[in-house]
Amino acid sequence: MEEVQPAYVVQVPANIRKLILWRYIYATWLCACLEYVLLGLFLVVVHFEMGNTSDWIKQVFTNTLCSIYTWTLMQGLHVGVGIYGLLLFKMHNKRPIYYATRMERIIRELPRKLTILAVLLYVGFYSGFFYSRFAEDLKFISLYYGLFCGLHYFMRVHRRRHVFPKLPIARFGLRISVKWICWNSALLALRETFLPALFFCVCYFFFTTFLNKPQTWIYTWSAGVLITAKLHIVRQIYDVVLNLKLPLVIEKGLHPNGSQSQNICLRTMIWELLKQWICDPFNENPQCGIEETQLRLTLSEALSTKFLYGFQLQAAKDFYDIVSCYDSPKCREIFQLNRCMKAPWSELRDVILEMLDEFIKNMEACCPQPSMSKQQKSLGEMLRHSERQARLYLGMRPLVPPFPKFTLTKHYPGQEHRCLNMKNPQPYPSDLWAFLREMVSWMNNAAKIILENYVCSSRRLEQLFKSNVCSRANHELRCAQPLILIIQGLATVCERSLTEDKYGVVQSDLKRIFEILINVEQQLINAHELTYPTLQTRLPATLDKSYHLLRVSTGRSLDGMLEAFGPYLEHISDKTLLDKLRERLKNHRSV
Amino acid sequence: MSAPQTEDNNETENANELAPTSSDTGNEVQPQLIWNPYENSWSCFQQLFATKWNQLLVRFTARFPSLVNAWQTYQKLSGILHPSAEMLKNGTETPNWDEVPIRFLAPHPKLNWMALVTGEDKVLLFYDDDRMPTCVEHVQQQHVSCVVWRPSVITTWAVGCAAGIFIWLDVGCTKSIHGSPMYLLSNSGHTFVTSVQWNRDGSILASAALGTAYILLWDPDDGSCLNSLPFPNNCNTGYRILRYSPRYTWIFCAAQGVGASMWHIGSNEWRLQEIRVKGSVQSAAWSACGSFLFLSMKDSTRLYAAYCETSVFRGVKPKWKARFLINLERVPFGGRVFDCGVPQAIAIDPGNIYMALIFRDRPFVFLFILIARDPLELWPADIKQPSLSGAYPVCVRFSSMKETSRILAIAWSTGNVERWLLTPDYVLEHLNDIWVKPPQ
Repeated sequence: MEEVQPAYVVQVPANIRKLILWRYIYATWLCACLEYVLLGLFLVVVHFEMGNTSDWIKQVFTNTLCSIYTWTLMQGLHVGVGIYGLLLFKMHNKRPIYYATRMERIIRELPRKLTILAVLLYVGFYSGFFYSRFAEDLKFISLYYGLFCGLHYFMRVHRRRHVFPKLPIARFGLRISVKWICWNSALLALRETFLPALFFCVCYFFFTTFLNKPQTWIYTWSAGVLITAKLHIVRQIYDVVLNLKLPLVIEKGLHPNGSQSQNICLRTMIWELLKQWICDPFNENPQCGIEETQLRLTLSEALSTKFLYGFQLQAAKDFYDIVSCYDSPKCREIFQLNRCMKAPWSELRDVILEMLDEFIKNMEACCPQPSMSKQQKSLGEMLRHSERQARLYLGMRPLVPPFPKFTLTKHYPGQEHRCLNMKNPQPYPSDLWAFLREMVSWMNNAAKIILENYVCSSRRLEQLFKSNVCSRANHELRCAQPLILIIQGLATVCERSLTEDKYGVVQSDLKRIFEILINVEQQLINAHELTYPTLQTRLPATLDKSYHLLRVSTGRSLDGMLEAFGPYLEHISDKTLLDKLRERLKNHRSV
Repeated sequence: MSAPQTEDNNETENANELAPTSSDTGNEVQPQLIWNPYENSWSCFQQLFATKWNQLLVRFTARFPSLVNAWQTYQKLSGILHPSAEMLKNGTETPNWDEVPIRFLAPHPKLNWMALVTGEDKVLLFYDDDRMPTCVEHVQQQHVSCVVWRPSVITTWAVGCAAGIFIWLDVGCTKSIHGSPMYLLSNSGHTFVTSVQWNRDGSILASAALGTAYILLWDPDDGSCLNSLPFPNNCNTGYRILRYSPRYTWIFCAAQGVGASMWHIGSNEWRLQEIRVKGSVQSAAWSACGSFLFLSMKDSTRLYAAYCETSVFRGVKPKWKARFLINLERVPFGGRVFDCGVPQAIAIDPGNIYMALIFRDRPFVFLFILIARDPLELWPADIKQPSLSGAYPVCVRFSSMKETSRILAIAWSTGNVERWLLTPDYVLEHLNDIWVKPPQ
C-alpha cells in the first residue's frame, strides 16, 4: 500500500503532518480575520462623515460583520490567500535542490515563480474588485491598481532567488508579533503606494474625466495601501505561525499532569482553537489545542525529519534554544536517567552524530581530500595556492589562457550513443509521446550547441551555462544549514555537562563528539581548496555563505569545548586525537 | 582616602605593568596601525559621497521644510529618530564624553588584554606581553561609544559607533565573509549606537541606539538583523543602556527618555516586563549572582536595587520592583564625610564582593562592599584617587584574573589608566575593618 502513497506521507511522521496542518489552518484563520479588519478600515475611509457619526459606524458594521453579501464575496479572497499560504508553506519546507548551472536553476524555478505570480495577481485583482463593490467611484481603477499592487509585491519580495527560511532570534507573544507586523506593514504600504497611486490617477485622468471627484484619489490610495499591507501581513503571519515553538520534549513519557502522552487528534485541536478564540482572540499561548491533546514530539524525531527542511531547521533552532537557556528544565532532562535507567540523551546523540557523519561523507565525495603532507610544498602546490605569487617567485610570465575551441558539433556522452544508433535508423515512433520527448531532447541538444558556440562568446552569458567547481559543495552546505545550530547546541550541552552531568551520560561521548567536530572542520578546510585558482578554471569559484557560517560556528564551538575541557584532555586515550586537540588548544590560546 | 597596603601596592604595580598606558610608556610605545582605511580608495569615495550627500540634504531641508517635516513625522511613526552627537554626549555613562581622551574601557573577559577607546575614535588594544599596542580605526568608525569583546572567540570585538556596529575580527589572521578584517552592521536609522551586548556564546548581538526606538538583534556571522525588540507603550526615544543578566535569562533596556523594560529570555519566547521608574536611568549593573540590578537615575544621588518578585503560585507572572538602597549624597568613611553627589557609572566585581562607583565631577572612585543579605546593604570599603592632580575618573571596570583575584581598571580624564589587583587578602582586610567598625 505504501507504494501508492505520496512521499511526504511515508517520510513524515503522522504527528508532524498533523502539526503542520494545524499551523496552516491557524494561519489561514488569522488571515481570514485580517480581511474583516482591513475591510472595516476601508469602509471607515469611504463612509467618513463628520456630522453623522452614528450612521457612519452603523454603515461600517452593516457592511462587514452583519453582511452575507460581504461574506460571500470574501470567499474568493480566502481561496487566494489560502493558496498563497500553501505555497509559502511549501517553500518553507522544501529542501535545497542541486542545480549544476544558473540556467538550469532559472528554468526549473520558473514554474514555481509563475505560480506565485499568478496567485499574487489574482489576490491583487480580486481585492481591487472586492473594494470597488463598496465604493461607487472605484469601478475600474481599483481593478488595475490591485493588479499593479500584486505585481509590485511580487517584484519586491519573490522576484529574487529563493531565500532560505530565516529563523527569528527572539520569539515574542502572538499579540506583540501581530501588532508589530501590522504597524510596520501599514507604514511600508503607505510609502510604497503613494507615488504609484498618484501616477495611476494621472494616467486615468488623461482617458477619463473622473477627477471631478477628488476623493477618488484618496479611495484609490487607501485601497492600494490595504492591498499591499495585506500581502505583507499575510506573508509575515504565515512566517510567525510557521516559526511558533514546537512542542518538543527530550523523551516521550508522562505529561506534567500525570497522564500518558498520546497521539494528537486534529479535530480536538481545531475545536480547542475555536473555543480559545471565542474567549480570548489574542491569547499569549497560541499553542492552544496542542497542550490539551498532549502532543509531544521528541527532539530526535523532529531533528530526523529530513523531508521537511524548514521544519528540521526549526527543530535545530529549538534544540539550541532549549540547551542554551539555563532556566529551562528541559535541558536538565538530558543528563538524567529514566525509569529503565536509560539515558534519553542516547537517542538524541545518535540522531545528531548520524547527521554529522552524513555531512562528512557528502563533503568527502565532493571536496578534494589531501593526499600528501601539508609540509611539502611543491611547485604544483605553490601554483595551486597562489598562481601569481608562484610565477613571480620563479620569474615566469603569466600563461595566455587557451582560446576556446570553435566547434559546431560537440559530442555529449548521451549524444554519442544516439549518433551511433543513427546508422541503423529505427522505424518512425508510433507513440506520439515518445516522439515528442525525442523532439524535445533533440532541440535541447541543438540549443546547447548553439548557445555554447555563439551566445557564450560573452563572458556574462557564459556564466549562465558554466557549472561552478563549488556548486556541488555549495549544495551540500546549504542542505547542512541545520547543523550550524545543532553544532552550537551540542557544544553547549557538552559545556553544561561539566556541572550538571551527574551520571556521566554525556561525558562518555566526548571523545566521539570531539572526533566528529574535528572531522567536520577538516572537511570545511578541504572545501576551501576548491576556491584556489587553478590553470583549468578561468572563472573564480566561490563558496556559499552557509560555508562561512558553518565554519565559524564549528570553530567557535570547538574553541568553547576545548576551553571548558582543557584541563581534562589527558583522559582521552586516543593519542592522535589528543595531539590534534592539544595543538588546536595551543593555537587558540596563543593568539 | 585609604592607600592600598604594602603587599597590595606591589601587586598593583605588577598589574599596571601588564597594560602600558600612554602616560606610562611615553614616546617609546607607539600604537601600531594595522588597518589604514585611507589607503582604500573605496573608503575615500564613500567619505566624499557622504560629504556631498550631506550638503545636498542641507540645501533640500532649507528649501522644502514642510516636506522634510512630513518625512520626519513618518519616520518617527516608524520608530526612526534623528539623533545627533550632542545627544550622544548625554547618552553615555562617560562624563564629558566629547572632551576626555579615553572614552571607554573594556578588559578582555579571558585574557589580560584591554581595549581603550580614545577621544579620536581609535580603539587601542593592549596585550599582556611585549607586543606593541594595536590601533584600530576606520573612516566610518566615528563617535565611538562602546567596545565589547566577543565571548568564546579570543580576538573579535564589536565597536558601537555613529554608523552602526563594527565587528573587528582576528586582525591579520581571519577574514570575514566580506573579505576584510572588519565589517559594519548597519540598519536603517540605527545610528549613534550607545550599547552593545553579546549573548552567552557570542552567537547573538543586541544593540541599542539613539536613532531607533527599538533594540536590534543581529546574527553577527551572517551580518543580518533578524529581530527588533519594540519598546513598551510606543516610547519615541532611543535607547541608552542594555545589560544581559549574568545567566543570560534577562536583558535590561533603559530608554534615553523616561522608562525601562526587562525582557525575559526563555527557551520558548521573549516576554516583556516593564519596570516602573520615574526618571531616566543613568547607569545600571547586574550583581554577579543575577538576583539584583543596581540602578542610578539621572540627576539623583540615590541608588536603587531592582529585584524580581516571584510567586509560589503557578501562572502568576514575576514582577520587577525597584528598592531604594542608599543615598550617596554624603557618605561617611574613614572618619570623614564624603560629598559624593550624583553617581555616573556603576561597576560590579565578578566575584560579587565589590561595587565601584564614579560620580559626576568628583576626583575619586568609591569602592563599596556588597552585603548580600536581606535587606541588601552597601558598606564603604575604599577610595581610589588619581596619581595625577586634576584628574577625575571617566570609566571603571572589573575583570577577573584568577578564580580569587580580580582587577579594578580605572581610566582617568588625564588619559592614563590604573589597574588595581584585588587579592583575597585585600578583601579580607577590608571585611575585617568593616566587621570591627560597622558604618554608622
